[in-house]
Amino acid sequence: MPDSDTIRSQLVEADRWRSLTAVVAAAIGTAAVLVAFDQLPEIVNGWEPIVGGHVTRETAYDQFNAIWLAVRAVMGLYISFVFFVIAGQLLGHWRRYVVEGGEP
Amino acid sequence: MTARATDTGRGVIERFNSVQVYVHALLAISIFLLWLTGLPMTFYEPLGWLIDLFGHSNVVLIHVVAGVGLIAVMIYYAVYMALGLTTGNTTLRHVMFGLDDVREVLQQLQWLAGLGAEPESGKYTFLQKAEIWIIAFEVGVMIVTGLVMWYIGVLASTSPNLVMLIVRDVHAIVAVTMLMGVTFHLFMTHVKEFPMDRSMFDGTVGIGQACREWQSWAREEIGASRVPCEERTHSSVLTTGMIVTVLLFAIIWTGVILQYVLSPLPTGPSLSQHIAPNALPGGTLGLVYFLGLNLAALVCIGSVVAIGYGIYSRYGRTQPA
Repeated sequence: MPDSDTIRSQLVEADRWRSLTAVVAAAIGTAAVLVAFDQLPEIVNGWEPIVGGHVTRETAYDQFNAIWLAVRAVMGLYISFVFFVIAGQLLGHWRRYVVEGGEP
Repeated sequence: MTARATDTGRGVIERFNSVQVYVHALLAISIFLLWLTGLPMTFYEPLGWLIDLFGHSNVVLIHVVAGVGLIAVMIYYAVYMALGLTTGNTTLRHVMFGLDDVREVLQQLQWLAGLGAEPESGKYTFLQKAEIWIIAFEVGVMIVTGLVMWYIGVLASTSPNLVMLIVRDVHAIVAVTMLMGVTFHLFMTHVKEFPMDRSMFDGTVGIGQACREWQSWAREEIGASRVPCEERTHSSVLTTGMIVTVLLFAIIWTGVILQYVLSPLPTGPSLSQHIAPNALPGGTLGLVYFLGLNLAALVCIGSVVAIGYGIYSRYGRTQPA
């Protein structure tokens, strides 16, 4: 709780009207999102195998597999990028703290 | 502001308002619940006990309810921020990237290499800004892919179908990437002030800590050119924790790479079938994955408990005696 030793920032004031408006918007917005997705036609069923070796008459498994592997490769690069950035930061901080702590 | 506060560094600066505190808590609880129910679906063998804990028939239901809660909180905060823009009462400028952040990145790299002083930052460091935007982006991806799977995918009566298998992979990989990002955030922001930084519950931060972590912001808030900073002290707990966290990330990262990136597709081919079999390795290596993934699950459980305790404590302090 703020007291005499608390420095209050003007920029973190919580307006009650903003909060109440946002609560109403969140309730309506969430319901709207769920209803919107419920209206989606089940178009993806067209990808189910109907002929041996094909996903649809126009799309062969080879093409589908190529898309799938490309998505996996991109996602693999993404998680690897994130991993190396945060691991680098942690190891860098660790090294600095050890050096500043006077350890070899 | 008082003389005592600025002179001795014992005072505190209000960093988050009550809306930000509760939004943070609700977002965190819904995300941790999503992981606790989603991770055992992704890594069934090492984390099957979580499914037993929640009950087989409840896991998906809890996952969906937590997901809907996440959507509601995200919309709430987006509208709250948008309304703040219209009145000028917003903290959005603190999280936007600018040229100062480029300078800060370069100074940070110099500091890590031992070639310069640690950079001063505004209310959020460039890493914290990146965390905020990356997590917002990843939550967006999770919501869209989750809704697609819920309504026309794996939970629909006509499922499974092949496209949903791609969506499922994206959902799983982004979820685990987000787990690493949030664990990094947990460590660098909340646990670094061992045993726990309480600013996410009481909304305030000590002047000394503010000066040490966000010196430009502290000066701006206090209105003084010189702010008393806390000295950083070497902590074995902190440095050991950093190494353990890196190892945990490495286990989770390689686990996802093996099971969701390199392993063969159900339809046959793979990026590298020789490297990755269909499942995580067994034996001693399997034990490493078992321990690492269960440690991640325990971090999620511990975080939910900590958030619940923190919010309960805050609520207790606001009640009249």
